[in-house]
Amino acid sequence: MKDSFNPSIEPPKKTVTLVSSDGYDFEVEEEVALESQVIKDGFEDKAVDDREYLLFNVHSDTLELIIKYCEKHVSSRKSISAAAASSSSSNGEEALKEWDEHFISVDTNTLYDILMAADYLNIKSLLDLAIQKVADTIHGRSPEQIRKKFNIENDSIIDPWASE
Amino acid sequence: MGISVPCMRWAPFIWGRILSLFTQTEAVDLPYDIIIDIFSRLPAQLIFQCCHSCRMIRTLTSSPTFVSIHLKRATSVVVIQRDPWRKSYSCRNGIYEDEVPLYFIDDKTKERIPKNMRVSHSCTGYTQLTLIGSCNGLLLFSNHVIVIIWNPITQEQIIVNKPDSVSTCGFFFDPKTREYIVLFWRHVDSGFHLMTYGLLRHTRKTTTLSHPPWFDAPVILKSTLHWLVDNERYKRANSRFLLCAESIISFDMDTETLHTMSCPGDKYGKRADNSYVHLLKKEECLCFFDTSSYRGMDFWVLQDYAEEVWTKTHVLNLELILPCRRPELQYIRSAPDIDNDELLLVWNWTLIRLNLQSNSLRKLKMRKPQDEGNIFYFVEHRDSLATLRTDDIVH
Repeated sequence: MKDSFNPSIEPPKKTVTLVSSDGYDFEVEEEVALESQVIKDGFEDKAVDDREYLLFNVHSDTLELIIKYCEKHVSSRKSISAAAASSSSSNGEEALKEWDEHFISVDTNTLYDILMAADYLNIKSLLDLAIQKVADTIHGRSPEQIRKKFNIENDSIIDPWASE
Repeated sequence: MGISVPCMRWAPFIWGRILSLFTQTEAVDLPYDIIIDIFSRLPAQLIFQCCHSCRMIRTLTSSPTFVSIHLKRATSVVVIQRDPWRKSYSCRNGIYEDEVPLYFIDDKTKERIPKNMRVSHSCTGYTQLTLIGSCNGLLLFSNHVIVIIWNPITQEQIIVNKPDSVSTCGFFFDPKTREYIVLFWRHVDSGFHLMTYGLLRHTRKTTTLSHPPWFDAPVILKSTLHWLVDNERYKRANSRFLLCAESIISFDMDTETLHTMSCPGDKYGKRADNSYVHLLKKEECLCFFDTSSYRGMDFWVLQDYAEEVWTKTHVLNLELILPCRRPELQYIRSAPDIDNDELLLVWNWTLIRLNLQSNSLRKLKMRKPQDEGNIFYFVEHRDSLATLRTDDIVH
């Protein structure tokens, strides 16, 4: 078996419960929850059997996405460092970047929810990703694309430059 | 201005739309630090246009902190002045009207934006302006009688009359006095003088200069400016050859003192010839690039600044990748900053990026010299909202 090569016995995974604003419980691995700086900061002071976090500002739909993001980042960080340790080449970082790009390609409302949750939970890499996405959405698009993107009706907005 | 980016006029609406969308969802606004973060990733031109139509954006983006964050994030573009010898000014009733044609080239987006700098100035002896340097999003131009500092985004401009018979050798932001300082040097009977002029407080200082710098913009490392010494002028003034050990001159902003440094190698013997060498900056290290032979161009890095220890890190060969019909030496010019191991060079009137690691090159896409003139002056530049009201600027 593969595990027999590893002399250290892996301890059972510790979990943390995250409760969304609409009352759903999410049980996640400790290291996944620790991606959030806010959870990390007060983590050691909390009793082991009281590791439950009420996230009043995060809806379950958003929380599901946030957990997905954190799980992906924890697991790829492990595989990247494992690849580095065995000095085998890996395109893990590239792949993660691609995954991020795909992950953040969401509609404006979801993007806003992710942005606010990342800010609230203080997940720096996700906040950065979401902010960059908003910035990219604002620039580098043709007026037609932007109109579509933000559902701006062609004639519903007064265009002060229209007479030019 | 001759630019038109179609989505820019939409930006204020879009922003309003985003805000309204966002406020609809949760009845809370985006925190200001997030709005600032979003804006700091947008092009300076776009922010500047938004400022005109939205007071909130103007307030948020005019703070010194914002300008500083934005500048750090801005990607660099290449500003070129083509055919600087073609007269671009006219004179009427002693007032000179000039339109200096420039091109802003973005490597990544392949955009090429023409922009003219308009100058209207009353003086005598006006000549063609040349582009000398870029610092914090501001461009420096000089001719025989004036220097101009200009922000191509905000169009803010300051014209400074030059003292008699001086050469301009760069400008920098002095964090101590929080103002931009323009540097000149001049030949006097006893040798040379370096003169500094503070734009905000109009302070002038003169220091005795042992070695005259080249006209190029200085390479700024931490708080020290570096130039190569002009060996011809040095020889004429001192009746002796410039030595390798003294072929770089540096000016410490903090102490306002001058020092000379040694260039690398003893390939040239003790005598220094700075005609075909360049000072550059890479990852906060001073670099020295010798282009005197395009078959073997040596690239050196100053590994130990205090001990003046130079290490040759690369030898580049242009012969195979950029064949030239003329066998004699071509004049290579180089921009002082290196991004991603890529040198920016003008060679054979073509602007190229030369990769240090792979010795491969990329030509920058632009119109032919016969249409727009030869490239002679070029700088790497970051668009910013930096203002010349320099008390506003932080570093």
